[in-house]
Amino acid sequence: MTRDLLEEHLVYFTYLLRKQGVKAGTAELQDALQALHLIDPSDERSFKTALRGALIKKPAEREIFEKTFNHYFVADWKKQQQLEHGRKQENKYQEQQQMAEKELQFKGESLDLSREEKEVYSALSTGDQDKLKDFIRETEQGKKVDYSFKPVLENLVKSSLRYWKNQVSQVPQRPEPVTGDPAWDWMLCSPEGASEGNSLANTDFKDISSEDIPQAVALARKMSLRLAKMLSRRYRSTRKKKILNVRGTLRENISYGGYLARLKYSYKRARKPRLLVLGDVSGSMQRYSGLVMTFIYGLSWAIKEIECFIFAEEISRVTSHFKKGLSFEEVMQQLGDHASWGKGTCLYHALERISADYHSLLTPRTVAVIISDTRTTSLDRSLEAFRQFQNKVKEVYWFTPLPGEEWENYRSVREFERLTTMLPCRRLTDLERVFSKKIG
Amino acid sequence: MFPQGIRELRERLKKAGYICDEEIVLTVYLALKLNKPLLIEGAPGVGKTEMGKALSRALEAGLIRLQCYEGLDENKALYEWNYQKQLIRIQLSRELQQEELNESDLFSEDYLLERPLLKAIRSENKKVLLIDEVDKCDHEFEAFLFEVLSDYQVSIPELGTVEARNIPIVVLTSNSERELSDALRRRCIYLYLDYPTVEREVAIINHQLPEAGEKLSSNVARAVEYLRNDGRIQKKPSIAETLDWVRALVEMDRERLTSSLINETLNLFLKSRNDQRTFKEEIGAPQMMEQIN
Repeated sequence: MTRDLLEEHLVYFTYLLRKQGVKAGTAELQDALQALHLIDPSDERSFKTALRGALIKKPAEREIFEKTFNHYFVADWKKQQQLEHGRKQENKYQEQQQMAEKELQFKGESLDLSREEKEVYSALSTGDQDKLKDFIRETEQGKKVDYSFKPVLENLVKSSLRYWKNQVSQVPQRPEPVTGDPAWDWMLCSPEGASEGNSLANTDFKDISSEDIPQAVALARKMSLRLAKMLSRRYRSTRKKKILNVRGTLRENISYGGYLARLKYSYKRARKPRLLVLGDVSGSMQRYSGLVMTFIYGLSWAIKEIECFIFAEEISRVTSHFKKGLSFEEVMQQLGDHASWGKGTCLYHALERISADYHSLLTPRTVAVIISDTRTTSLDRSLEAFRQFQNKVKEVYWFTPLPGEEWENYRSVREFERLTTMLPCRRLTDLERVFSKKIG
Repeated sequence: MFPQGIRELRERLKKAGYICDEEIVLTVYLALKLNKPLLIEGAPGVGKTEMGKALSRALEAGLIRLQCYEGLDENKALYEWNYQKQLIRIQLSRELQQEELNESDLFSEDYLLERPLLKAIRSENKKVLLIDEVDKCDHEFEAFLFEVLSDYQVSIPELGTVEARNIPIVVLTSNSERELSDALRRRCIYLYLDYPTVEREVAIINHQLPEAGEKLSSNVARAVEYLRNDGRIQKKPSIAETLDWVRALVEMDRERLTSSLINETLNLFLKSRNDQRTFKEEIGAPQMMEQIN
């Protein structure tokens, strides 16, 4: 490979890394080029190590590097083959989307469906697709059904697709557009070369298989412990209750002949927030509650001031279970006996009970974390209860496992999003990132 | 002092008691050649600090260590004025009615206390500066640190700018307890150290404790790897703990592991009550023996 060609490849390779979130700038690129001059570039292992050392600076970036390297620095024919495969996947996906648009029409006009809803439609068997089409056709032919009926029909179709989403085993999902080239996006999203730890951390909770759950639990515990250590080490300067720094004061006043003309103060450690966690364990949250509990379990080990509640139709304070020094399995066994698991959600009841029975926990220092999909009975009453609850605490963060693009589809999400910060928590990495940035 | 190539560096590290993979040697070599700090991350006990020490032995450069902790500041890391000595000097000049003291008399090198960073920068010979557990220091100190590491010069208001006589070989280690800033990371060559493979760990045991024998080394290395891969164990045994375990077994005159021996020496490689309980109740020595044989 000539020097120019090598540089060209390296620039594009770095571009691909950057598009995937690796912070590799021009300085790193220069380091990489310099490093390549110090090794034998024909030796693949040395070549890879040199690039990794210069371009990658975080443990989390290692997997991205490995994957991209393994796809990028391969024989040209193989790369072309992979890209061709990616292009075919993209074309197939686009055809499926167009097909869904074409087939799901009301009076000659496509129904307003999201990308994900069309994906679910594509995953249905021909028989089930036909049933849905027949339903639309029959509706179209109904008496007094005019164009104004379209939104009603759309809602019915959307509900039906929501039902099917949980029934269909494999919904074709397009990778997030990252690199600007769909073929590369498809190639890089394949699970090849991903290490188990990181791939689990980046997997949607609902897609984690039951065999992987112990591994995910261990990972969640590890991440939350790391995060908890981080939360407990924050410093901030304060103007109140300053502590005299004797060494600093003496040093500062040497130039005044040892007379204490200027006083120096030391910093005071900022008080950690008091965390109040409300976990929704109702039926709709079944897949997520277990792992969320794991995360809270890890946090409870290191943060003293944490209060935990679980709720569905009823609410229970479960802090004591986390504080007994029990293993996670023992805690889950105790919580598993709780009657709320798997039932419906009544948020207003939970919030009103906390305000009434545990009002001492709601202070201006309390940061509340609600983990719920927002689906609740009596939404309006819940909104009012939430407003009142919010006024009593410092901040409320709402974690929802619903995909961001679906938030618009739910009135409950839209309404709560107006009142508070809504955050995604579909993956362990989501939880860690958001906790460290927002709450730390 | 400086190794001519990767092979020589590997040999020197081996002589210094540090046995590692080719990729690790190459990354260290690149950091040395590019004159960049080496940032090492990895789980506790994989040999991050030891790399700094071994590098100092391998390159025959003195080691200067800066142990980071919460509250570490410039005064403890860079320099401080010996204010007791300065006060005595002021008092003396007053008592003895000497001629008037100038500020420059007090803020001279006689009163300067060099701390590790300044010591490394002002050293006549090239030094290895080991900044250990950098994730434990505060954000402010980290920001100060990357300024020092980018220019290798520091400004002392009373003395002026002090430039490095010899740019030190800088090794930073981190246990990832806190996310380091991108600015610091960008200035470094990055190395992630993982636990060694069984073969590599056997080589480490044989090198450090040749009296252990092939069978015992292999048994222990496999046992330790088994525990590290078990998600139920929270505090994985480190390389140092492996060596301690082997050392104890050698003292006990054992040539191979047995279930009862594992149970008797559990405290040497599992250091938390939860892990010991998990091992006894869920994993069990006989099952582990089955897996490692």
